[in-house]
Amino acid sequence: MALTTNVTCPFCSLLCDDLSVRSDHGQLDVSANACRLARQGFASPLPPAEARLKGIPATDGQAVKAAAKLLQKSNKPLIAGLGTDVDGIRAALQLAEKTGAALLHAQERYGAHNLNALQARGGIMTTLAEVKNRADTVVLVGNNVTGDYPRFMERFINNPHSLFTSQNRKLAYLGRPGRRELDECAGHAPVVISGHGIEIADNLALLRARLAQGRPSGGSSTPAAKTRKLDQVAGMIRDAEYGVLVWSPAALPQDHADLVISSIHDLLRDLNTRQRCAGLSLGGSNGGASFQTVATWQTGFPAGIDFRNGCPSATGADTSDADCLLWVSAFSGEPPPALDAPTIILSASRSGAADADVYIPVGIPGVDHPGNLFRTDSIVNMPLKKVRDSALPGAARVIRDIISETEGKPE
Amino acid sequence: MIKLEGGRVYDPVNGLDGKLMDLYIEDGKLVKPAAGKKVRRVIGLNGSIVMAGGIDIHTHIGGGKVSIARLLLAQDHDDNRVASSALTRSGSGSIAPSSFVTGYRYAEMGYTTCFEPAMMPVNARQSHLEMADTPMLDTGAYALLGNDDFLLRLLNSGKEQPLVNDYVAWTIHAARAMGIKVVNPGGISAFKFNQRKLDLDEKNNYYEITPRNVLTALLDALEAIGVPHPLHVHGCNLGVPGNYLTTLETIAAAEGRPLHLTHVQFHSYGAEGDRKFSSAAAQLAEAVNLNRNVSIDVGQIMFGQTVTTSADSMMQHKGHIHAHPKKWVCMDIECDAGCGVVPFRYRDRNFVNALQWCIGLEIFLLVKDPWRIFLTTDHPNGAPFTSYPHLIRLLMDKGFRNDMLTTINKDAADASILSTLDREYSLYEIAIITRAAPARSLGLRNHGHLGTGATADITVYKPDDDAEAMFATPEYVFKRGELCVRNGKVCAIPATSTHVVEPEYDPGIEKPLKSYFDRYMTMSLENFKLSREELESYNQHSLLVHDCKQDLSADDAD
Repeated sequence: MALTTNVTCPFCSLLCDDLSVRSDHGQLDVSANACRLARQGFASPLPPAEARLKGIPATDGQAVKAAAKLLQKSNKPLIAGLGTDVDGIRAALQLAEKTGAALLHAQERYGAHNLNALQARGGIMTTLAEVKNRADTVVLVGNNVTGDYPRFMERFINNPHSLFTSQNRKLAYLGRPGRRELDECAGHAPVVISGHGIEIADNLALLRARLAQGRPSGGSSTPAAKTRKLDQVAGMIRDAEYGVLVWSPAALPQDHADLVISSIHDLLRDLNTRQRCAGLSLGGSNGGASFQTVATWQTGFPAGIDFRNGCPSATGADTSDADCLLWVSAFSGEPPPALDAPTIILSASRSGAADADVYIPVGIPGVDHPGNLFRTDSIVNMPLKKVRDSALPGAARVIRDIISETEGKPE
Repeated sequence: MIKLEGGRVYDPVNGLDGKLMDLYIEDGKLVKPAAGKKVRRVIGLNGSIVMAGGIDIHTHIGGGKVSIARLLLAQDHDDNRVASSALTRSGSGSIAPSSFVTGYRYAEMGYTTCFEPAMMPVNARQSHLEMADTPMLDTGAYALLGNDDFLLRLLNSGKEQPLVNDYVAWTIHAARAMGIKVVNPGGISAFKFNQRKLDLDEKNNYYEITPRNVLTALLDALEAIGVPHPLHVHGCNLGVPGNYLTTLETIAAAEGRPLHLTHVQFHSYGAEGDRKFSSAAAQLAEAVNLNRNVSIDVGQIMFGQTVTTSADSMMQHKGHIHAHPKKWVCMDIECDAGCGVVPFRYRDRNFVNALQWCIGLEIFLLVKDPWRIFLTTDHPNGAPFTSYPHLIRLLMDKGFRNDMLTTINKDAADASILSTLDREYSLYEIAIITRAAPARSLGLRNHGHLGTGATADITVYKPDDDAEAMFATPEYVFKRGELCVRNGKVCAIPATSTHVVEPEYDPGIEKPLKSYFDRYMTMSLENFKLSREELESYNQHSLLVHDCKQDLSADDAD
């Protein structure tokens, strides 16, 4: 039985690295600082190290050859899912370039909301340690904003130690808090301005108007109770030494997510003319933040990259006309979406393997092999450890084998 | 052994000023010809100009802020897409090009080594990962300190200097760095406390310390731990009219300790004249000429679209009103530092921009000792690095320079003394400011020259009256003895290295650090540190470890 400490958990983009993980004959148990995602992730059973071709057992070599052949035959290959670590993403970008493929990360539809706002107007952002140590006022925007980031409240809002802030951090919520969130932040007596859909954007606009004018001004149609709360939150923000607005693109009403995020940035730009306030977005789990970052430095484009014309373009990956799919899912092991085309799966689970033309099992980064991942704030990159005895290769190695195979036998 | 036959060699380290001679390469190094050594290839140079590979001492090529710049310049990336070839990877961009393209473009103009000047320790993994994806070039980076709360707390609590020294040396190891840079000392932290400017002797709103305290502590630390490259300083008040006084005070504050002032053009502004903006290049140059402990790089601006990207969130936020196009990003980062990214277009018809252009050139021409001035545009802040050949022509060709002067804002041209400066850089001097001097400043003993035993990073240029054309398209570039560029085009992808120093420190520093990390940071001390093995794994990058206390130990032996 082996105990590994300072383990980085790869199962959400907070990348908490204070876990202790016990390994007993391949069974992993998180013995310190587990959340539900960590418990579930580290408990994933090790799939048999056996590739499949149309459901029939094959050697890795045969499977790699078959994958290379399918990709070479394809006119419009698509590499999707992309749930892997930085090195896996580097390899996937190289394979896409070699085979003229498009790339689409599973989280991209959420990440796109942030990118749209950022590429249009920019933004004022902050990172987790600044929230933990500096934020005296935190406004969460959306519905159950931290639901997919189970330790956010514990580590960055209810933290016992802070360089600059006292324990009585002020909290507000624009949207519907989750039950666990409410329990966890009860000590801060949050002001909740509930609302769904477009109401969240409305409330942000009302808040911005109040803060811009420096005095309360209620829309005539705003109910008195809500006006009071808006005034209260505006006052909190105005008095903040360092305020932070937190959102998660996936936890916003999707039809209005672009609007809400650009409203947040507009508010932050206004506020920073006289005081300090910044934004933090929660997102980019399953390698999403890593994909955006690595793709940006390697190609100049953060998302929707298509190599079909020999050079990268951001024309957007049109998945509908793909005639071959390479699906990478090294964290969750979820199966690919149904697509009427040959499918290659590199996954940490056997899910979907029976139906795939090619299935090659890969290890989980941070469980079966070392690596690194970018965190939700896209600036901090955390190292991952190997904590389990496993013969499974990382996705990067399998993808590089496929690249070698395509190079060896040009069409 | 490869023989380069009949080149005119410009190698200032070895005093060679255009000497017609042969060079021999074996196992990646320059060697002496010896009996029994077989020449397997002769390359006739027919009097072409031979220099060591170019070394850029200050270019933003790796790290979070560069990628934010790329995100904001979506149109530039769309408009400048680069296809892959059998040899090269694809990419895009002309201003902050993607990583592979950056490597190819640098090599294609004869550069073989580049240093990222602003690596936040907390962002070291990303910086090195990006640089590992920047082919053709050896790379290295300076770790940012001076706005990190650990150091500010040490100074605030009056801790003894040896503890600061250990922390600085530890950081260089943890981030795998080549030196230390300080940006707006304490000012990035002050901005987080809502201060909008911070003079050299102005206190932080929270900490009882001033930029001078931070500077002094870091200058002392680097001297004590013997890092060859002096403290790399981006001073207070970047871009503010009248800031040359701060720059002169900063030089005085060094009190003779080695000091490198970076992109000094942005720190050499007076506040005279109708527009309250004037050149203080003469005052700055005079101070540099008088203080032999000071080196500078210029940060020349060129006209056109670029993007300014800096850790100086305080001054970048202030400058956002000039953003073009109108979008910008500021970030407070991890109690470590910050960043600001503001796209900008320098206009030749704009008085301020035109005068900035003049100020940079005035500095180049007024500073007498070429060993203490390095050619930079602070890529991409003043201009993309691809403008270096144009800049070299401006320095070498007075007629060309004066022609250009007639095309810019007339008031700026009239206000500048540029037309009265007759100096023209020689090839020998260009070799100093683009190779020999940066190498010496960094303590690279086997780079930046062509003596026996030197690493065979060699660039060969075909002589041309148009220096811009000559420097834009070298005939040959060798990286570690491998021919990798022919007539300005990449022809091989050589292996590359990361330059680092590893100064000594007392490991006891990890005790207070561990406690700080456990209480306040968002990761463990162990995971913050970037190991040699991890860095080497990124692209089979080998590490080149340079000696600390190089000259000191030699003096001691004497």
